[in-house]
Amino acid sequence: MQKKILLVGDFGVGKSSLVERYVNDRFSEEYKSTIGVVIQKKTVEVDGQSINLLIWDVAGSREIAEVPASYYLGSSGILYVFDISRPETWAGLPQRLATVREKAKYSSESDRLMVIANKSDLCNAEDLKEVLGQVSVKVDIVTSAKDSLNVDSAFTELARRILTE
Amino acid sequence: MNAPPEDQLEQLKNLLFSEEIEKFETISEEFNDYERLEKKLEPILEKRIAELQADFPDQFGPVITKALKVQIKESQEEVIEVLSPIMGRLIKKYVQTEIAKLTESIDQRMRDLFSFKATLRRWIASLRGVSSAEIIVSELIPAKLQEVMVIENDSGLLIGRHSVSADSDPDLIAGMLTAIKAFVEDAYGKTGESLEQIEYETFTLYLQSFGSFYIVAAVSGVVDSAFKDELNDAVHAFAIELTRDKGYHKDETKMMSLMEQHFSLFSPLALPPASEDAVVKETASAR
Repeated sequence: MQKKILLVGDFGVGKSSLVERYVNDRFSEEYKSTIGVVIQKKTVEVDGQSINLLIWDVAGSREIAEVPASYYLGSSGILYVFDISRPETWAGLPQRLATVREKAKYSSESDRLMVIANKSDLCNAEDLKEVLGQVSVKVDIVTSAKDSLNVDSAFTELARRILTE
Repeated sequence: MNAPPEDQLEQLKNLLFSEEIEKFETISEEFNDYERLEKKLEPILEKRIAELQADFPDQFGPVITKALKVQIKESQEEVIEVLSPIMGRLIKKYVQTEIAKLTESIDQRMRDLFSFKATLRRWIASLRGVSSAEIIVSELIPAKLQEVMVIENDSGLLIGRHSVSADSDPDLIAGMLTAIKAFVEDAYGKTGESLEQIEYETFTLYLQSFGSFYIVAAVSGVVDSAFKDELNDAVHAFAIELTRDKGYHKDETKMMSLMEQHFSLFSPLALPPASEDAVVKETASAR
């Protein structure tokens, strides 16, 4: 079974690093901006079922409306990534998520759109708690591509939700 | 009592060389004091480095050139390995351009010729709806169908593949092609228009949309109108069957067999290495 999933969010929030950590178990401090889209794949086992995930790592954009609508078509799940250390990447999140849902044609009840708070390695537990309190939507998972924290869990959880829905 | 001869000699040495000994001690002190030595040497070294920088090409150029020549001569294999992909691409591109020029000049000459052979060639060409030059060139570098992919329109997921080689990841290619297609259509497309052709060096990719899926045919070599027509017919016939029976989308074996049925005339499927005899037979049976 093959499923297309997308990673979207502001530029520099660590989307490519999450994919790189998940697919190749690698991390680089060097920042390389994604141009257009980069596609990678990984097979994941969920509840005894094997899913071939085609991961579309979409170039970061301040305005979510700038991402071509056609990229979202046919996607089974989306990871919306923001950077805990940069408030501008999680400001206005409800509107941004609504745009993503509209473009991907997901219902408002669908949980196939997950919100990821990345770069937990850049803050301590107190700061994290404070940020999570300020973000006006439910954050599904806190990750760190650098420390390899919860990266596999994020993708596996999305695959599980795709299968369930 | 007289002093021992060693002491006498020492006294004599001190009397005769006291000045030199003092100088030697001063120099020795200076030499061992790193900071003082550095201060003294700095201007000299700086001057020498500046001279070296200015004269480097003259002083070392011939030596380096000689060393490089020897290195290249002794490691020809490695040099070829590094340069051949770059040279190969350049040569291919050059040959393509030259062939295009040749095509034009042949056409011109063919128009001027009235020999029986030329008349016959023109007659065949007009029957096939192509130019005489195209026939000559396509005989030299025949078009070959390298790969056919059936891709879901929205998701870019690969539904089926028929290929002469198995060395690339078709899932990723299908995804990237869909992304490129989506990007171009988003940026430049008007309603109902879609990306139909991508050229890459000696490859041409033909894309045709059929509702929920699109078909990509990768062709190498010189594509004449006749080949394109035949390929178009095959793609359409294949697409009609695919649209008629959705079962093909879910059954990989059934899909492969249908693709083989429609495209084996253009290129045989990628198979494990066979004996030389088998390869010759396959090549002969291919278009």
